[in-house]
Amino acid sequence: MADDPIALTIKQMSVSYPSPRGWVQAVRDVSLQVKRGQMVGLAGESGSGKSTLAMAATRVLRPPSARIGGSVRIIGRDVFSLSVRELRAARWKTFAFVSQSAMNALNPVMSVRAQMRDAIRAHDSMYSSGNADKRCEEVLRIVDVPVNKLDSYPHQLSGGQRQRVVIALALILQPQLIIMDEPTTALDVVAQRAIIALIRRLQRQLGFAVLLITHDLTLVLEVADEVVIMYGGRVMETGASNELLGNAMHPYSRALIQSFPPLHGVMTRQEGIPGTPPDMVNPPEGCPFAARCILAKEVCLREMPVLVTHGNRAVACHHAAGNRTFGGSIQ
Amino acid sequence: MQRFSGRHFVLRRIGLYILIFWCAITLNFIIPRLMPGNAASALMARSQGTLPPSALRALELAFGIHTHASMFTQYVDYLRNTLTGHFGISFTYFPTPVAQVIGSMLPWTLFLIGLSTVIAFVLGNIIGVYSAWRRGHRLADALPVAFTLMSSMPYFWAGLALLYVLGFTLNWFPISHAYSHNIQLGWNFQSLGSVLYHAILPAFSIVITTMGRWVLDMRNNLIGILSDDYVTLAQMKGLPEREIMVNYGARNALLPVLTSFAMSLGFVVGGAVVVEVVFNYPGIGFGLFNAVINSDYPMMQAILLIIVVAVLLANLVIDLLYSFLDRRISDA
Ligand SMILES: Nc1ncnc2c1ncn2[C@@H]1O[C@H](COP(=O)(O)OP(=O)(O)O)[C@@H](O)[C@H]1O
Ligand SMILES: [Mg+2]
Repeated sequence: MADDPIALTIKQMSVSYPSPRGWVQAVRDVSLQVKRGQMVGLAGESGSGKSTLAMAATRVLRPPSARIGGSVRIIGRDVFSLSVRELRAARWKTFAFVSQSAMNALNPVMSVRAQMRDAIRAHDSMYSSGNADKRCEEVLRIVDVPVNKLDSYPHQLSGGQRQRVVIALALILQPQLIIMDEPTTALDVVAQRAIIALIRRLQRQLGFAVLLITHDLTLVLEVADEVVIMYGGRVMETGASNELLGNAMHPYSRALIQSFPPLHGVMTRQEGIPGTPPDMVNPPEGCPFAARCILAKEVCLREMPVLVTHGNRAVACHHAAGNRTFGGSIQ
Repeated sequence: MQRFSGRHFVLRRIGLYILIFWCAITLNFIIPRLMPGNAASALMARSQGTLPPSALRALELAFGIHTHASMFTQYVDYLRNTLTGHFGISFTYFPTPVAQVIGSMLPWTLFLIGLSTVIAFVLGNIIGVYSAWRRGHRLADALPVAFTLMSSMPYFWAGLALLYVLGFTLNWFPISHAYSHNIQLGWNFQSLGSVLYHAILPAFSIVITTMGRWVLDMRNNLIGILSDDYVTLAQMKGLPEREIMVNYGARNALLPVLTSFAMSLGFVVGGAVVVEVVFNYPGIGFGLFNAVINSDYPMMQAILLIIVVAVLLANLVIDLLYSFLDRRISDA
């Protein structure tokens, strides 16, 4: 069980929020996997359901705030069958989930040290304070933040430092899986890339698994081993980053790549994809992207394409499903 | 360096409050002198001709009024007298010095109103935290409504109702005074018991009528804060729920409430009037009431000064507390 080679398995997850207009179907039948020691990117425009998926999978989101279906395993354990006690014990120690906007993820009235030590104390009451302090210093050093910042308060840190402190906090109990939701949103481009590079380096060195959630597909394609691309609550395409980077099969993936500047090279102003995401209370019958897709045919509007596996990648598109080499011909 | 900025902040604050205090006592000097007459002529007027005109000079001497001295000399004398607690002589309790009268009233007010204010604040916040934490449960949702209803009653009405039912009709509690006049007051159990017994009814009436706002403020602030990112992170850290509620929730929710608490602490002295009059309680509020009725100017002036000092002191204490609780303030 503990030597399960898979760190995170999400199976057929569906999540809906109640709203006055009806159920908001934020996530529809999504499955994904993160192997141990692997970094997987979860990308998609804002509103695709990425955060909802992560929150439901970690039981941050729970009924009655949402209706949740599917199953989740983290390091061999069925997350939904954990008792409240077991869940509390597993959090941070087995898996750490750092939700959106790490900028405000630190308590303004507690020092960095206090916020690190309470995490240690909650999981390991035997930890002597000397050891706890040593561990706090260690993780700060790992993320390149001066050790004297331990006694600082969040407002005394720069945005980048706060981000790093949150990462250090996630590392403190050496979890095997870290889920990070938009860990760099509030930062400028340079700082963003430094943080992502840091996460990648630590992930390789320390060997934990990462699910990195971002709306910036280009960024995640540069660093992650595999990428899952979501839209309208569904998985559009998945595959190894190096394969997807130059040869995305889904028109949505291509549009996303084109709408972000490359990680290295000239940064030119880019527009987003024209059009707006679908209404998730009444999601379209067919492909959710059809209304904005330059290649949409009649069948795309009528029928939701299934996610078809092509070797070690998969794509949910009527075009790609019919013609494996089709991806290369869209230009 | 951070230490230094903290101490620097404290010094700056204290300096500011000394300045405000100086302004207040200076106004207290100027305003009566802009009005016609003085304490001696006021007492003459009150005597309605029963005192011979020659008594004016004698009274002026008794009150230490030097109408012929220069403004500057008067001001210096006034400052010295104020700072050394020489507020003159009370008309009502003539010829007892005002300072002595106030000295016998102040402890009662600080005890009754001060303690009830603190109890209301602490209880109100605890109930507020509980009702935010367990929101959705029937009791947790009913408590804020109940306390808000109670605090929307006018105080004198609630006070009189309690006095009538629990004191007068049922005879469970004494209806006036701070202690039984059959006993010799001292530091013994009998005195303490009597004082507490007399304080229960007025204190209870203050607590139930002022607690509502703390319950509501804490509940609303806390519910807002519980959806903040750092609370989510604390939950993700697997911290015990109680710890999250206190260190992450309540500590942050308390910050905006502290200012209102400072204000209500400051008004302990000033706000005592109605309670003390209803319960015939021998404190500052009762004293102010009598001073106004009897046109006892020296008394009024001194009590107003004490109210100012109380407001300033309460604010200073809260400022210092803030800088301790929230480092963003002392670092600003
Ligand atoms: N609490 C909520 N109640 C109702 N709808 C929600 C709620 N949170 C998110 N949504 C909707 O769910 C969809 C997915 O949102 P989200 O998971 O935040 O997407 P992402 O993280 O990819 O930007 C969006 O359409 C959003 O409007
Ligand atoms: Mg999101």
